[in-house]
Amino acid sequence: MAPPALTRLATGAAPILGLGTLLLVSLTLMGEATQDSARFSELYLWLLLANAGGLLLLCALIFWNLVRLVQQVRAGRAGARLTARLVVVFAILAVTPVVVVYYFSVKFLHEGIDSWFDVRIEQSLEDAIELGRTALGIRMREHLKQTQILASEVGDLSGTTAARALDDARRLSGATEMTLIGASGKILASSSEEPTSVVPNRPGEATLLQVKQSRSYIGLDPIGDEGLHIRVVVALPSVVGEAELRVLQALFPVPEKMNTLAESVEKAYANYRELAYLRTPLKASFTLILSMVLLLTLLTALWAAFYSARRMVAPLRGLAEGTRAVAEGDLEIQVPPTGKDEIGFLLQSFNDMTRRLKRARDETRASQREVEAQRAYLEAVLARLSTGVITLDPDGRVFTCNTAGEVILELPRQALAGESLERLQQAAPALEPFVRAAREVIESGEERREVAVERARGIRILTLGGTALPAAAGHVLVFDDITALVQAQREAAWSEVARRLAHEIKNPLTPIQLSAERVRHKFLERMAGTERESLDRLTRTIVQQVEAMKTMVNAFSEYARTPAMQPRRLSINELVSDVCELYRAGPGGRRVEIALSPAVQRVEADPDRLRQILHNLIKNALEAAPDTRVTVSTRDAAGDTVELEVSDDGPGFPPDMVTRVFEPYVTSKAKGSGLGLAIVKKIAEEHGGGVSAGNRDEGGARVVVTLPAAAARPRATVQREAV
Amino acid sequence: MSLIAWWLHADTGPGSEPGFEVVSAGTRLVDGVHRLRAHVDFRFSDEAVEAMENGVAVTVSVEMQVLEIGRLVDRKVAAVTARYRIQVHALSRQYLVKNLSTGETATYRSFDDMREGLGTIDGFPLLDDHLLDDDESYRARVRAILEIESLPTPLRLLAYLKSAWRLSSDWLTWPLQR
Repeated sequence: MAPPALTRLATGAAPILGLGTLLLVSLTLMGEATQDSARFSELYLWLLLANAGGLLLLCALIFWNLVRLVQQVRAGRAGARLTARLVVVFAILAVTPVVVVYYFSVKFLHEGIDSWFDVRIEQSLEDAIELGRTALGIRMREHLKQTQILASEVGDLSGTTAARALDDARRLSGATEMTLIGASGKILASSSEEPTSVVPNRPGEATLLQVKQSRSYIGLDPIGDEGLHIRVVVALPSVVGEAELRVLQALFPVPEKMNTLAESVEKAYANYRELAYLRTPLKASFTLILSMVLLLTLLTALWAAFYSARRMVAPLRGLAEGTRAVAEGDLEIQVPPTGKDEIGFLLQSFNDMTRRLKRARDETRASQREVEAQRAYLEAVLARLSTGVITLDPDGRVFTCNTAGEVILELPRQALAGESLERLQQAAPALEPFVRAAREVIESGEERREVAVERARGIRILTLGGTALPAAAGHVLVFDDITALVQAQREAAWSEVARRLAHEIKNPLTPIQLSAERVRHKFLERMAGTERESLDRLTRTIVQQVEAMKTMVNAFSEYARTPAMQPRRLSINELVSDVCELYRAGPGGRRVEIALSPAVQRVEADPDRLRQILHNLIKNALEAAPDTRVTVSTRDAAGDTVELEVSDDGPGFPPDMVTRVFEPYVTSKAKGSGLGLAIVKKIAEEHGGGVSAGNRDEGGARVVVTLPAAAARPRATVQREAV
Repeated sequence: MSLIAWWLHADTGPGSEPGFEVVSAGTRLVDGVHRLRAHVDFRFSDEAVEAMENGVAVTVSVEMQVLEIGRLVDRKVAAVTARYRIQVHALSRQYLVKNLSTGETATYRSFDDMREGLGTIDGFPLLDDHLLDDDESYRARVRAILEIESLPTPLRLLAYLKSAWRLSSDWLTWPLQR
């Protein structure tokens, strides 16, 4: 991410406008400097560098803008593509005319500079220079002759005489200065028109060299600020005794009028030559400045394209982002308003829309929360009901089902949800009575019905009722599992029967038995033969049957009896070991095996009642078939319970009896009373536990008694498990 | 007493490639003033000669410095620059060399004469000996440069870019004898 300062610099209007203005001023100064303006000429290089640097900075800023735009387009940022399109359009609109203007400007510039120069003017200047030379040449030759004559006159003079002669000669000839120069450039005598002139003007070494070779020199020399002078240097005739050359130099002024004209021609010619020579660099400089102006214009236009596009797209981007946010469910979004134009109106409308949507959503959410609260309340109530409740939609599909419904029907809620009653029946055929009853209840609106359905836990007795929901919203089915209630009623009835049997039958049995014994004792000895045998058999039969009836009545009495419990903490393993030892010591004892879990928890139980459970179960198992092997095992089970299992390898329970083995008088044995397992169940439930029976996969029956561990609270309900 | 010292530092001989070269340089003490005597070979490039022949004034400067020899860095004691403007006088067909410091103008009939005259420096007053410390050691140096900044502005851009216009000599340094 770029720093905010850099972003402001690259995207803000003020920095770029400031930079553009500075560059424009700088380019103007460069243009002035190119035209040889004395003020800015010295700054030319710095202006050039400053402009180049400014343009580079502008390039960098635009490049940064471009990179940023490309990144935004690639990132799919809202409005980025529109910005790019606008930038391209703006750039084309701005660049095209500028380039055309630049092309023709350069062309006109070159042609304009070329038009400054004309062959005729150049020739005229050449001719003027030549004319000046010619005019001066005539005068120069005259002065040469004049000086040569003077040289022959002063050639032999020296010292003061020579100086006086030079002075006379200078006055006569009109020269401004005459100098007699001796050997080694030593000035022998001099005469000047200017009395203040101390040092005479010397000829150059090259001039003297020429005089040595050709005896004379004549030239046109510009001397200081005094204008053009004709310099004449001639060699003096040789003097006896002096080997070195002596020369006489005379400086003749060019007439003022001629001097002025010559200087003017010279200056014009020089300027023209210079300008002609500088034509190409001048074109290059102007082209450079023009190119920099073009570049400045292009870059400023490009930046303006970025700026304008960004400004134009900004509200639309905000709108797009706002729309996206609304689509994603964020109704808090508010787009910053931009102005009072159509886009501003659009943004204002969008903001109004989102506000209204938000208000509507908040109201809907509040309603939903209320509904949810009511629903949660209802679900909580239904979940805590022991009554199963199923709601059906108008199409007869299950809409809801509470926990009790799941438990009663033994079907998970997921399997019920959305299913019709027919599909439910197909999925669980055993529920066919339930479904049929439900359909009848729905169709007829009759009162509750009682149905029996076979589930994994056995035959369950259900009462089912139902009613239509208001506004044709479907139906609600309400059902209860009354199996336990029915069994309890049945057990209570059996207990009453047993108690009455014990009471009504047991009392006359003893007199019958005593009477039969007395008859036998009194008359057996008196009889003989066949009568004696008959009496003996009959009385014995009476006594035996009475004994059998007593046994049966005692069993009934035991079943009906509800003695006070005397529970205590005990080790079920020790109890099992003690009881099993009795069977192991007797005949066939080796058929009873124990498999006790050593770490099994202790239980809070009445030991005598537990012994009865064990006796009943072991006895039942041993009587299942000859040579039946019985295994008694204990173990800890889930829910802080202890399980006592008695299993055998006999024929097992008949399938049709498995679900009813704990009911009184349900037995598969010819001699059984049918009360053994019913008593087991009763004792287990008295201890807060339960009992289940089933057949083993490998053959044989298995009865599991579940008792709460000593530390655990006694169970409130009876657990029955089909194995 | 007039102490005269003259060291001629003749490096390699004058080359033919364009460029300036201080061929020899030295000072002599005359009446308490150190005066420079030097010979500079001004080998102008063709571009520079062409410009001069077309009326463009070319300015060269000869920079002279006296440095106090320090342990780490030398300290500049005096710096003098003599600037000369060379211009062709079309009417007289002569080269005018104007000393921009003194205003004196010398005329030369040929380009070579001008180079020779321009390159010969004799007796240029460099520094008063009283300004120097007797306990210190000094050295002098000189170099010549073509001033691009003095060219006409349109030509300056070209001059910055083309090596033919970047004419300057190295410093020629010698110990200042007193």
